[in-house]
Amino acid sequence: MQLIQNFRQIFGISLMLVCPLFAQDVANWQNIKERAENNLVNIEYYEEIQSPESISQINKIRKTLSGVIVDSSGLIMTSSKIFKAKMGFSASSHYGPAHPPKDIKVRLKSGEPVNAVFVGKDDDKNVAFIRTVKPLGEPVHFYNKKIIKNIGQKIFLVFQLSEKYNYQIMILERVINSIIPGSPDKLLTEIGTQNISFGLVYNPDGKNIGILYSAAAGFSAPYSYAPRQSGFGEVILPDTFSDLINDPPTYKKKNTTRKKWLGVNMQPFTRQLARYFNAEKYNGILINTVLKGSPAEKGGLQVGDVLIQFNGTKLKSEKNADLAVLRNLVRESGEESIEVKVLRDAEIKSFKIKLTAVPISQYLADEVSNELLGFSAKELTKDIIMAKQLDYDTNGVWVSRVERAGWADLSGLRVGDLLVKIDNDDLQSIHQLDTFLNRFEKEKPSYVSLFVKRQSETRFLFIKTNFN
Amino acid sequence: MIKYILIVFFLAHIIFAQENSQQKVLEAKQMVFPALVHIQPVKEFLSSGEKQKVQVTGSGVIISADGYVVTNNHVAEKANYVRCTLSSKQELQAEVIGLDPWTDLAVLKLDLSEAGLDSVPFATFGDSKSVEVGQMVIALGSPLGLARSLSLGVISSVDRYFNDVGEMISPFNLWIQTDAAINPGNSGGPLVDLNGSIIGINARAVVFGENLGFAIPSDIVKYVVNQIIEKGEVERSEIGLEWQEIKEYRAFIKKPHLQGVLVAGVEKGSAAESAGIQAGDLVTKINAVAVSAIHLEELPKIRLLIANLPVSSSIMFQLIRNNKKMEIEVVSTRQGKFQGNEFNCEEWGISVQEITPRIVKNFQLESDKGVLVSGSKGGGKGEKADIRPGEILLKIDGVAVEGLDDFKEKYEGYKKEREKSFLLFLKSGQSNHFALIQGEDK
Repeated sequence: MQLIQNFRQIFGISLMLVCPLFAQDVANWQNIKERAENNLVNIEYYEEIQSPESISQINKIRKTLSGVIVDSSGLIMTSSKIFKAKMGFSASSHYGPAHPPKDIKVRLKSGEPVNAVFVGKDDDKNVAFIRTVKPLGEPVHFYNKKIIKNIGQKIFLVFQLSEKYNYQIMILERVINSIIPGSPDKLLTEIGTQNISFGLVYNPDGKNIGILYSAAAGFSAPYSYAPRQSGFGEVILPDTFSDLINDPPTYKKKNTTRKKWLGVNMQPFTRQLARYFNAEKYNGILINTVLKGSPAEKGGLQVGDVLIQFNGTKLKSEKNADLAVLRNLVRESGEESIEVKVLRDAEIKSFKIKLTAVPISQYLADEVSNELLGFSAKELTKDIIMAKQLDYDTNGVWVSRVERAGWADLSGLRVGDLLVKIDNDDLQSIHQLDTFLNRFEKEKPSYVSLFVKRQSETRFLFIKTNFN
Repeated sequence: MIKYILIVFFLAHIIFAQENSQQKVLEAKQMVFPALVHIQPVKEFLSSGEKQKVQVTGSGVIISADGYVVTNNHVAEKANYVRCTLSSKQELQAEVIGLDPWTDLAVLKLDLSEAGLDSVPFATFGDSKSVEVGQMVIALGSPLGLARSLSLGVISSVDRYFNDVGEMISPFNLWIQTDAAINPGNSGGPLVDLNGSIIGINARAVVFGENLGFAIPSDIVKYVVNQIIEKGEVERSEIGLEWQEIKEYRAFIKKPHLQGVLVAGVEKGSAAESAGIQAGDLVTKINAVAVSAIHLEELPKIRLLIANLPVSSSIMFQLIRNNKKMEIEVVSTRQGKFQGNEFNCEEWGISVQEITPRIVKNFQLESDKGVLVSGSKGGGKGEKADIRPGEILLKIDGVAVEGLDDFKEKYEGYKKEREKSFLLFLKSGQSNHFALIQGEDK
């Protein structure tokens, strides 16, 4: 009997505790939904895919993404994969969409579509910006203050569903599953679905604490640029992107906003290496490669130098992941002139280095095409130079596309060939090639001669034309 | 009545012709079959920084009473023990006398004393230049290891040209194509005409094709075999030029009767480069002999013309550059090794290879300094230091590695200092990498 009474008391108290909590949760979900409806938009756009086997044909693929309104003038932030091409060069090169998204239409939940244009993107921070022709909705307010970054912290992921679901808001309750230390720390959450690519993140208090980026979702295009971490999403906190909202990166071909670069390859200066060099009291990063013509080379850095300080920040590395600290410092450096301290031959030396914008990727390179001859060529960019193991300061043009069964294809020209000479004249620039191609259109020669380099071999190719 | 007589006569003719062909095939077989050899070399090579052994099967043919055997280089290379079975089923060991990867030929010598023999039956070479398309031939060998097999067919082509693909190269010869069945294991076996003469050595087949076999013409085989028996190898001259046929070039410059051969490329640091020959030059004469390659199939004979000259020959090239006639003298060098020696660094768990001119070219290296990492053993010191196959080892402890011999010498010294760590500097493409080979704890 005693037991039953006690049980009733406990049950009663529990009910009193549970009910308010339950009510609070529902209020939060509803509250989050209502607020997000004014901030989240659906972005519909066309990705242009150009085949390396066609000069004129462009395949347009309709895609959708979520975006968030970030200012009252119509600036919208979304996932960087709206335009997958990298802006700065990287060691790996791909063929892929070289044009920014076209025919962009933005709509609030069930609202009228509003046209928008692509503004720019930040490859490192995984965000891109578009701007609508007229303002819509309300800018999101990010909660910028101290945010607890505990593993297991409850979060709400909010995004807008596609047309199929009438652009409704969807909310998922999740937790922070892993915190990868770094600068900044990476906050990972298991989304458990491949359908989310970009959304808003709220904490249980209904505060908007950041955005969600998922590398996994939406990779229907044949080219992917991010690892397929299936089911993982990354919570990106406002301090990562708030500067970008105030001053968004811009895409203007060669004048596109780009990061800074130093021009070195590096490896961890491990404790084992430190012992080998009798330099155990030093921490740093070992430079193993200095690229020709890079800021590092101009500034006097050498292979074998151990970078111990970058603009006053002490450097330390034991594993490859630790190298990201210096990489971020360089890429995000607001200053052009920086000072580094290196350990060289058991002495500490200081160097002043003028950081410049990272060289453009092949996607930003000028391309010229000739439909009749059936090929396109691009100026040589550093990514292509590295992939082809050419001298780092090589000038020239390379064949970016060859029309299948076109005149050039039949003569044996291949995508990737380096064009060294055209009709016996050295080819140094894309503009020179353009001049030649224009001349051919007028003069209509029956043959065009190309001298090409393919891997370690060179060869003459004679394109038989049929201008008439 | 006349009609019936004609039919009987015609049928008799066919039967007689068939019997005649049958007889000829049997006679030809009888002349070569006793000289057929089933070859089973045990090959030793390095893979992922470790020694590996494998037994393969190939074919060969005896070409002298004292037991010289011709086979393919790809059958005999890296063999440290060669077991041969004659068509009489007698087994005996053979020694590798010499290899020529450039033509994929090798010469072995049977150890006759082992079987208590004074001499062995042998086959003779015919003249591959007189071979005609459509002519009947027989192929002998061990397809898929099935020893003493014979297949019958015709010559399908006498001037098949193959571009070099990786290790599959044939710069100095065209190929005899046959529809006689050739399978893996036939390699090194003879292609024989109905006179019983060897007209080629079978070496290649198209795996996904049907009845597409290829043999090295006997004229090339004779030259290479004689060189190997005389000197142990084929010594060739080299100048560093890549040639190109002029069929399209003639059309481009509107000179349909132009004769000559186009220089498609000049190798870095080659004799031709230092003599001043340039890509785009049209060579018309070599040592006063007119040369011309309108079609691709004419290139091997031009390469052979230079290769067969003695090393350090002074070769006079007449050429046309920008419509002007020129003469350039090039002194040939000795042709570089096809494949470099390999060395196993057991302590470090890696294998390294000599940098040959082909590696310099294919890896687009600046020089032949250093050694190529050819393998890295899982769990070895090298692998732990992140040393990867394909990297070029340039320095150890800041001191340049000049080549394989220099490396071996240094390595022998390092082996004695087990407790010491070594810092290796490696290059891969445009990127370098420091690797610390960790010393053992005291």
